[in-house]
Amino acid sequence: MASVNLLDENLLLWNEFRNGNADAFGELMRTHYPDLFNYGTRFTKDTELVKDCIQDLFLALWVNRLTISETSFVKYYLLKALRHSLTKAINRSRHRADPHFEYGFNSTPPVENSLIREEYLIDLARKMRKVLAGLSRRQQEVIYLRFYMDADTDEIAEIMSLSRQSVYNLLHDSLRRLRKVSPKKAFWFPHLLPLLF
Amino acid sequence: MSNEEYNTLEDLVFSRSFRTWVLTGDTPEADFWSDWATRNPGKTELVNQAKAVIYALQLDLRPLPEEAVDAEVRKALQKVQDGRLTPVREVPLRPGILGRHYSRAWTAAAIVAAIAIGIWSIRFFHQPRQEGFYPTFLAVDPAKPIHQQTAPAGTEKWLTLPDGSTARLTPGSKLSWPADHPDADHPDADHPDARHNGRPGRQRAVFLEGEAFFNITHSASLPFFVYTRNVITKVLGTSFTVNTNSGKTIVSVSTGKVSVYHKKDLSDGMILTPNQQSTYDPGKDHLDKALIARPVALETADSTAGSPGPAPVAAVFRGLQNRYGIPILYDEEAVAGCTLRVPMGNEPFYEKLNVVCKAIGATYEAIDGNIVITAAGCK
Repeated sequence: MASVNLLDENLLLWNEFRNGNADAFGELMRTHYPDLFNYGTRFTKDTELVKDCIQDLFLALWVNRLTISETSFVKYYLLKALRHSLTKAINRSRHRADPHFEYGFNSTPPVENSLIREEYLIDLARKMRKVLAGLSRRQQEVIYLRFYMDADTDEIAEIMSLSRQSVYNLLHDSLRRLRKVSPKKAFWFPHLLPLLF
Repeated sequence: MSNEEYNTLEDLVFSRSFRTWVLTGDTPEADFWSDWATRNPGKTELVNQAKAVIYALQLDLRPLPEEAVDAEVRKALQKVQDGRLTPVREVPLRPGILGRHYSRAWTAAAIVAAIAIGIWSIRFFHQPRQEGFYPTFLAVDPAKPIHQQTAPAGTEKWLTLPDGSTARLTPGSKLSWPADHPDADHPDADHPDARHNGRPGRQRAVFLEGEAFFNITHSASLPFFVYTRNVITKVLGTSFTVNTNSGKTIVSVSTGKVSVYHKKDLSDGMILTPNQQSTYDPGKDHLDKALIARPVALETADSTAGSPGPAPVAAVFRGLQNRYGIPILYDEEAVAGCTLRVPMGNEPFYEKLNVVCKAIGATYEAIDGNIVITAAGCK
């Protein structure tokens, strides 16, 4: 499978970086930057803050490279660490204990709705979006990590510091709600009606 | 691929291949999916649902342009190559903690902790090199004034810090702290700079030269740091003494738990419990853990410990351990048959230990802040 090679390449890079290879370090940062930036901007629109946190994250990684172990799950550690430092930075400026996944599916969808190639799906997609927007922020974050970061249940649990069971429950409940929305059945679920308008 | 079953919404939505096909229509697996769809007419509704969900999951993403990413990477490499960012000395990986057989969760926790400490250390230490650490600490935010108190020669000085913690300075000792040290009423109050310059918000942190006894008010969210030239002590809420008078830095704990780190190597750290102390010896350049010379009974301990009748020696050891908070390690089997009658009064810890050991023909050693008993048995 292609993913094995990818894994090996990441592992190679990681080990090179741990050996103090600055080029590998730069490559590591470049590789993971888009995902980290993407994830970071779900928490805040302050892109400078996100960039600062990512910068600090990698410098801290470099400083501590000798105490860091071999791993093939680099990306999820980075996501977790970013979530940690970002929410700390955000919470310092507001009074809040819980990190908020602010800009998930409740935000405005991309304007280019033309990307929906099947005309007949536009309505259904709109309904699905309303269901997604109505999910709790945690649920949105779980779905986001599953869909955009290809994280599995274990990895999501690790990133969000939740138990596997909670992640499973959050995911399960979200999917249950999405499944209920079908073009035919929607009418039979009156409680969904408010979401449609 | 063809063996895979796609029966549920999540099977499809979270399949990268299906997703790419839906969003771009142009994928190596396009044939597979259109074929699959025709072979499974019963799943049309499922496919439509999955497609709709995938469309609905699209986010208005504004990725950072590649040039901007490059600029960030260059910035980091610049700092790395300046060589100012290498406070960690070469330490062999500890196989126990970092071995690859350990679970992901552990590795993740270790890495996140390392990163958290690293970020924190960078923010504190990655300042332009001046002469030594003290000015660096004070320069964390040059705009903020520093408070400084020195105990005059011949008298102790009691200080109450804004967060309610107290410090008792021995004569001639000096304590400094930033003027924005959090106060007791608003420990987490807004720090207007925190967001934009990437600096930490307010911290409970002091710098000590000399010796002081600290009694720290508890705050789980805001640890209290005592810096000395070589050692960082981190607590949540405890009382302890830090002494730098001998050139060494000695941290000894009265109540609660204290974490001590080597300033230059944050992986060299330990947790101290009451009656334990850590000593940093610049000659050896690392931290050692030991018991304090005269262990003190914990305030919470029952002072009437000790039983009137003959008691199993294991119970006596447990009593001592609880009373002083010092771990006592012994071989259960070796002391199984030993009983003794010892009224426990106010004798110092080591005197009690001597009496007990003599009575059962055992010896003790203090190793790494623990007492290790070697007993031959009582038959």
